[in-house]
Amino acid sequence: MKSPRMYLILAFLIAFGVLALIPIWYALDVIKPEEGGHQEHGGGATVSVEEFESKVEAQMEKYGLPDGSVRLPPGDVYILVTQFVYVPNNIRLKAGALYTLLFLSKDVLHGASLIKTRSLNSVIMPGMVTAMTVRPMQTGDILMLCNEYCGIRHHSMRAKIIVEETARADLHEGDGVVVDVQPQKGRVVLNHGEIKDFMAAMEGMSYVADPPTLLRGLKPGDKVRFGIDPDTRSVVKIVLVDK
Amino acid sequence: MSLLREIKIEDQDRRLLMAFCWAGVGILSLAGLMALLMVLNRTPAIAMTSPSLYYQALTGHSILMFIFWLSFIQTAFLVAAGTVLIGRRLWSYLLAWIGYAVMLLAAVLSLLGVLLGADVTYMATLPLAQDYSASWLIYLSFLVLSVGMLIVVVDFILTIFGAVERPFEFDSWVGFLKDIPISTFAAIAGLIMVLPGLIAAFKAFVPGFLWSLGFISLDQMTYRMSWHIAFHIYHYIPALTLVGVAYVLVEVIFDAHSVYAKPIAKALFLLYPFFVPPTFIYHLLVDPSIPEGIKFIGSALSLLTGTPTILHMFIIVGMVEARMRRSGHSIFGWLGHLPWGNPAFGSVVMGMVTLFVAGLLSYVLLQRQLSPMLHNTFVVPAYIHPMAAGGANLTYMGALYYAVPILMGRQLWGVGLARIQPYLLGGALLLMSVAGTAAGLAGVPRRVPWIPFGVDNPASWAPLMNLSKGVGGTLAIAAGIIFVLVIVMTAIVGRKAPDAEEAIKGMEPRTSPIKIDYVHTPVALIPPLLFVAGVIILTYFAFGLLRGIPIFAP
Repeated sequence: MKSPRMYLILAFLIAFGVLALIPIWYALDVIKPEEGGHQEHGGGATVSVEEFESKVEAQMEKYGLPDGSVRLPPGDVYILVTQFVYVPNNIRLKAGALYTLLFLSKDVLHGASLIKTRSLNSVIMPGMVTAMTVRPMQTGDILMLCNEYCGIRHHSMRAKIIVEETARADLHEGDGVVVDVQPQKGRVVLNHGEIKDFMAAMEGMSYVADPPTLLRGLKPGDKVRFGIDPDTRSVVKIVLVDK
Repeated sequence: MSLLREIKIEDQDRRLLMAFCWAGVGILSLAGLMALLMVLNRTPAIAMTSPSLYYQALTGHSILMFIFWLSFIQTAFLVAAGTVLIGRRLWSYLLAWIGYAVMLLAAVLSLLGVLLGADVTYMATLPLAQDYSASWLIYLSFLVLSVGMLIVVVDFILTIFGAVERPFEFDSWVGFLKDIPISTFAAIAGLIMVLPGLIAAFKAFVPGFLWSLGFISLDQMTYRMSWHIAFHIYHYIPALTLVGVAYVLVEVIFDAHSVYAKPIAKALFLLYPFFVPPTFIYHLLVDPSIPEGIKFIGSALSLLTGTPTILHMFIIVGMVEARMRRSGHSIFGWLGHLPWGNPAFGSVVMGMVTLFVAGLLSYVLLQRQLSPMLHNTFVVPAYIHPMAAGGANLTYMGALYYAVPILMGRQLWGVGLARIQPYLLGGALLLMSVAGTAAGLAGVPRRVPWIPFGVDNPASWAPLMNLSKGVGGTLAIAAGIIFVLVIVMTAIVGRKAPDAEEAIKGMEPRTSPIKIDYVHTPVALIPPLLFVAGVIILTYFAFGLLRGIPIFAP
């Protein structure tokens, strides 16, 4: 390069190269302005504490267990948050199912940090619902703690989510590896071993997922255990297994 | 030596600048003490002190270090940019001293608030602050600080008006802005951010203060938004200031000048006020109150906030490269001939290295889609420390290694200690950052004392926090103590020097003779290239981690 100006031009090109992240977001398929975040499924809604509290109470009544925990079906989970507790603070969820955790604070700003290997975090406010969509893929405990400084006993504020295996004796269960996920078609392609009394080992076998939301969070290469409904022959349960 | 020879320091400037410097160093020391209390608590292997003492130290550390130490030292640079660097006198020294006194009063009010137990952190969120009876002192101190800074800023503006020959003629301004050094231009460009920042501060803290006294009711979301706008603008002032200071240092140390036209460097400073204010939204990426589309746009716009700094760093490294190669060094050979033992140079270099790492992390943190994995985890302090305590602080400390001896007319005491100090601080911050990022990715939250979640803590947390806070934090505090010791001892027992040249003995500028004419800067392209590549690689890596979380539903 003869002219020093060339270096400057190159520097400009490089410095603006950070904008390459925008096409990268497209390539990674992580731009979903129409949904996601903390505004879907009732997130961002303004509700009164009384209204929210009554939903939490109804949920406790319907799904509460003698040990104080709640065992919830897939769908919405209502959690009321105050200094320095989550109500309920012992929550049982089904592995592989999709849940939307809905939070409302009764007093100050709080947070929810769901910790399993890494963490998923959210801000919880008074007067406005926070929604977090999660899909617990492994059985075991998830630690939930407050990560927004909320007062003198902030550090003692926590709850436990217990992820349990879906118990259905009639399912044909198998182990396999995800080859492809087709959310639009609601199908998943698997390489799997023999499924006892049902099917021999197969490569590239395509199954309907019921419901299709089962496929959220799944990606090619994941090792999974799955369950097939004997009547519909569709996958009704799919859980990650440790790699 | 040329720049140092040109500089003439009047007694009035000397006294004012030293007053700012001493207030800054005093506050830095107190904030360092608070950091020590935090290390003693948050290092799992130690885990002493109570949670309440931890929250108190956290509040004190964040307010004193991030708000007051930076305000004092940056205001001092503003004063220097309007006086010493352009050979002018301030419009009014009385006004500047009043501003200084008001800022000092603000620092005292804050400290009082902290000591009286207003453990609200520098966020002083609503309605939490009502749990603490002394929290009004915190809001008041932020207000008073804004007033004090405004006074000095007005004085600076009037000084600049006075410096322009015919301030009501456009051409006269053009000529003036062309002639002034890059750093003074940076200070003027900074005003375009500082003034809206101060307005935003009043908008947040006047209602906040009135609310804390029970005079008005205030919605927490309104306050949260105002606070974040003020904070966002405020936390970019170091980004601009450190670059302005780095230009001066490189010029002093190497007698180097930009091989690119000065107006380019100056124009780059105008990008900060343009790129920065609309991006405050990136602090609120997991708030339920903001629609997804706005979060996405805010996140996409934020990608440009680092661009001016990347380009400045290219120009600054290029200044050194071209100057060294004019002395006849080979394409990479000049690196070995840099004055690594000059404390000011060590500070600039380590400032840039820590800034580089913090910058990489910042680009991961500001991406909307990654925010659920990172928000309020320990990744945030692991980024802000190399950014503020590294990039900004180290550069400022480098400036003080020259400024204090010259202003006091004394040689630097303990040059040997000062030599290792920037490397120790930089290394400590990098360790804190790398181990802290790993801890944050494993789910360690920020702003909690250790002890917290008892037996359920993932096993990886303790060793990572021992490394980050225990080793990294302790070494950083040690480096801070060395800095304060060197500066204080210089003032007390430093050998008296009749002039600037004598005062900076042991830190003499590297002015090897110019042998050839050389203007190419290929090596200076390497850091920006590595940076952008690093951003892209880290982004892929982070998305991989996000998708691997066994509870994540995209």
